[in-house]
Amino acid sequence: MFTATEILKQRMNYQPDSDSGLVRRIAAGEEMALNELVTLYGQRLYSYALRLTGEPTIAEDVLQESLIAVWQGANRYRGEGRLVAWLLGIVHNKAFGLLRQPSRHQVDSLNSEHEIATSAPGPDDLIESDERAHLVQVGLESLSMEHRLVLELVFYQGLTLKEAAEICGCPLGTVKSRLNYAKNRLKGLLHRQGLDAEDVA
Amino acid sequence: MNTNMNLQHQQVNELLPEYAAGSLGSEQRHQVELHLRECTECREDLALWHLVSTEIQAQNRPLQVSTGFAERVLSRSQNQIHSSMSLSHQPGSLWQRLNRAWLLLQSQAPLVRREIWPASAAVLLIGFAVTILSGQWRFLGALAPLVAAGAIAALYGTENDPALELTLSTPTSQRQILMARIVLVFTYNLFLAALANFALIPFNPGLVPGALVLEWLGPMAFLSGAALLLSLWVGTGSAVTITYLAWLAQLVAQNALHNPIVSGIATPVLFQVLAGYLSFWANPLLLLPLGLLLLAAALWKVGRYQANYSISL
Repeated sequence: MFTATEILKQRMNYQPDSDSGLVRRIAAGEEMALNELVTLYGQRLYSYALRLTGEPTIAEDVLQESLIAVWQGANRYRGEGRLVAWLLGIVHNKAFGLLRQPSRHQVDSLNSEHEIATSAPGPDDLIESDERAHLVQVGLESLSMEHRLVLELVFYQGLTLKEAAEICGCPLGTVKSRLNYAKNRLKGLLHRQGLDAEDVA
Repeated sequence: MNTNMNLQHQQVNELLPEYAAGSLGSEQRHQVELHLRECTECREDLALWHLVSTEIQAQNRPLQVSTGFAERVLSRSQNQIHSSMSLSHQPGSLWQRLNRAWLLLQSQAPLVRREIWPASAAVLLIGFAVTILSGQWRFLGALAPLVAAGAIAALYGTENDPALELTLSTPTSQRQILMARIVLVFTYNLFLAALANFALIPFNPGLVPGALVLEWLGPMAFLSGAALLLSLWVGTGSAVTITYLAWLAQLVAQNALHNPIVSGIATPVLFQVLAGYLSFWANPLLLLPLGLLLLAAALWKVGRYQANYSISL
C-alpha cells in the first residue's frame, strides 16, 4: 500500500523515461505494466477522483473507467507532457462524464458552493495556529468546486499552473484568477478574525 | 515601486503557489527568493499558500492509509478488459491483435459459401488452358476480375449466409466479419490470378509479368468493390450481372475501336465515349482507390444493417 513517504519519493524521483516506458508497455498489452501504473499513481488519481465526485464508490468507478481508457488509449500518450498530468486529465474527463449521466445522483461536490462545516470545533477552543488552520480549512470547504480543484492540482498533485489549466480545459489566465480568488477569500477570512497568515510562516 | 518592480512583483506573485508546492524549477525559485527578501506582500501571500498546502496535504492524508481501493479497481478493470478483449474490438499488443485477426479469419473461412473456393480455381484453370491453347495472352487478364467479382458478390447477405441471423447477434462487429471475408476471398483470388499469370511466362517468354498484373489488378479491385456493394443492395445475382456487363462492355469497346466496320459508321462522339470508357479501365491508379472506396462503402452499409437489426430485436 502507499505510504506518504513512498508517494513523496515517487513525486521527487520523477523519471520521464520510465514513465513513457511504462505507457509503451501498457500500449503493448502488458497487464503487469497497468499494475505498476496503479502502484505509482493510483493513490493520486483516486484522491483526485474522490475530490471530484465526493463519493468513494463513484471515485472507484471513475478510476476503473480511467484505467480502461488508459489501457485502450495508451498509444495516444506522446510523452510530451508529464504522465501524471495526462492521467489526471483522463480522470477529470471520466469523472465529469460519469456525473453527467442522469442515473447518477449529483453529489455535493459538484454544487458550486459547499456549506461551511459546522461540526468542527469552534475557533474559541483552539490556540492561534490551530485557529488559522481551522479557518483555512473552513475557507477551503467554502470554495466552489472549480476553485478547489485548481488548489488540489497545484498543492496535492504538484502540477504546474499550465498543467492544471490543461486538465481543467481552461486558459492559464483562468487558473491564475481562480488561485487569486481563493487567496483573497482566505486572506479575508483570516483578517476578519484578526489573524495573519504570515505569523506562522 | 517603479513599473519594472511592479511587473516583477506581479510575475513573482503568480509563481508563489508553485513555489509553495515545490513544483518550480531552480532558476525561477531563485528569482522568487530574491524578490521575497524585499516584498512584504509576497511574503504574506506565500505564508498563506503554505497554510493552504499544509491543509490540503492534511485532508488527503487519510486517503493514503488506503482502503484496498487499488486492488478492487485494478481487478475490476482487468475483468472488464478481459471480457472486452474477447469481443475483438479492443486494442492490445500487435501480437494480440494479429492473433485475434487470425482467429477471426479462421472462424469466417468455413462460413463463406463453400463453392467459391473450387469454382474460382476451376474457372481460372480453364482460362489458363484456353489462354495457352488459343495464344490470346490477354484472355486470362480479362477473366481474373470476373472471377474475383463473382466470388466477392456472394460473400454476405441472407442468400449467401444461412447463419446470418446468428452472425448478426454475435458481439463481433459485422464490419469486421465482412472485412475478414473480403480479405480471405480477395487474397485467394489475387493469389490464384497471380499464380496463373506467372505460370504463363514459360509458355511465352515475351510476356512482361508486371505489365500483365497491372492489366487486371485495377479492374479486379474495382469490380470486386462494385460487386460487393451492389450485392448488398440488389442481391448477388443482379450484382454479378451488372459488373460482368460493365467489364464485357469494355472488351467489346476494345474490339469495336479496332473494327473497320464500326469505325466506318461510328460518329466521333461515339469514338470519344468508347475511348474514355477504355481509358477508365486501363488506369490502375484510379481503379484501385475507387475499388477500396466501394469496399469501404459496403463495410459502412453492413454496419448500418447491423444497427437496424439490433433496433428491430
